[in-house]
Amino acid sequence: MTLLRIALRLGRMGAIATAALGTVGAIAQPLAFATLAGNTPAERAVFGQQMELLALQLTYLLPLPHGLGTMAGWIEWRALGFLEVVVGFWAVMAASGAGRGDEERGLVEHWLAQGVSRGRYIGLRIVAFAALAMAASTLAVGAAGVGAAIVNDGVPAGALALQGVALVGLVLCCYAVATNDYS
Amino acid sequence: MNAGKRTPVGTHALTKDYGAHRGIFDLDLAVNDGEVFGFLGPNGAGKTTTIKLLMGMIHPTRGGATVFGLDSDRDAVAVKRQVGYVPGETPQFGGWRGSMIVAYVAGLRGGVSDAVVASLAKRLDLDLGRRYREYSHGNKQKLLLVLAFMHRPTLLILDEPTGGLDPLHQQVFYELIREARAGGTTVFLSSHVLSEVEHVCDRVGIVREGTLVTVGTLAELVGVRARRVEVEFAGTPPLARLAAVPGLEQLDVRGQRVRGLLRGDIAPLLSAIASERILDLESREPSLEEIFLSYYAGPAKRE
Repeated sequence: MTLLRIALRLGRMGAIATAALGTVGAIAQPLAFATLAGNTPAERAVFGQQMELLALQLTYLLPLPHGLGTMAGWIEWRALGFLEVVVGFWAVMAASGAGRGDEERGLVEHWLAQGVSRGRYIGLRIVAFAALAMAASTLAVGAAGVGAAIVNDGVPAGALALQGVALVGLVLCCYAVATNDYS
Repeated sequence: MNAGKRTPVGTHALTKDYGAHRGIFDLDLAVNDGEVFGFLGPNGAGKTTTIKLLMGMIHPTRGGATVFGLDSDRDAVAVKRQVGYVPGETPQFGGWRGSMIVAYVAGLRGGVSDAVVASLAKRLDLDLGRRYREYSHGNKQKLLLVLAFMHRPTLLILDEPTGGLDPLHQQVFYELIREARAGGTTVFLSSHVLSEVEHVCDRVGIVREGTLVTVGTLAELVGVRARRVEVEFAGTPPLARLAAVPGLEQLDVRGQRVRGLLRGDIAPLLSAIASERILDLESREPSLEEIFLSYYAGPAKRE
């Protein structure tokens, strides 16, 4: 348990920053949608068409737009799409820290010298990152749901949960790829 | 492996070759139970490489090492459980407090007494409540000493442990080593500080350019070494006779004063100068510094 606590502590700053950024962004986007998109279906359809034209220009960074005239489509593209970039960046930074940064700081040698096996050390670093990634993603996705609920335009909880699962999957894939590159 | 089951540290042809003659080569060494062994050499001689091999941090190119009969490479985790270790470079814990670092290490080790930690911190005058990044280099070193000693290990492997310590706390460190030895702990201590090994070590191994040059007690090392002699003649020094004295080397003539390094018996020198009028004659035992330097005078032999 001590090693897991150490691993969680080593990753906490990135997790806090990502969760804070993701939560604020995710709660703000539904509020912004309610303000900008209009109240009638016709107004929202026009808003969606205009935003899709803009969104198509950003597909090198954000996912393909779909249904931007609806709250769910807007959250998927504007809130979670942005969050995917953020968590991907965090995963790469965390992997470089675990793979190279800690070694250069002498921390890997220090913990291994206490009688910890390399396999256990690596395994618990991954478990800790996965736990932090789940927590940060849950907070952000939950914030999007809360934002939508505040403006009385709720989205299905199941759909949001699946978006959260996809987000965690993405961040773990990024972490794995980056770890492989740094090890 | 020729090391016995209970030999705290044993190596057999231990080699780590980094290329370009860097590393440690064919190291054969046995450290006895309960002794303080000094591993002496200049920077880059291979001391830290040897310690990392003993700790199982790196894999040997050939040969092997045992710690209490356990293979340092294959059984690295079990080895580390028995060892208190001070690395050559201080790790960077950033803003963690000293007490937090101690708590984490104690959690990983188990069986650490708060009283022992408090006692070590008090003796080393270390404030565990401060953040690591606020510690001076000396205080970081003190924290590493606390971490190495606090679980009462049966073997201490210390890589230049007094770096950054002031003389007062160096004395405390020497006391800790003596107490550990009295309690049956074996100590393997690397250093390039000669006074350190003079203070605490029972035996010393001198390593140069990756090769173990000699191993012996301090008394043995002093005994095999030459003495410094200095003679002031009333007249012209008899240089031809002095040059013929067996074992007299490094003659340095300054006017009527002759200095040299005499290996072996002093009687031939006294015979050579017996017919001269001598104003002053000085002969003294070499310091460990001079012993140390004499082992670095020539190139190391390596195949």
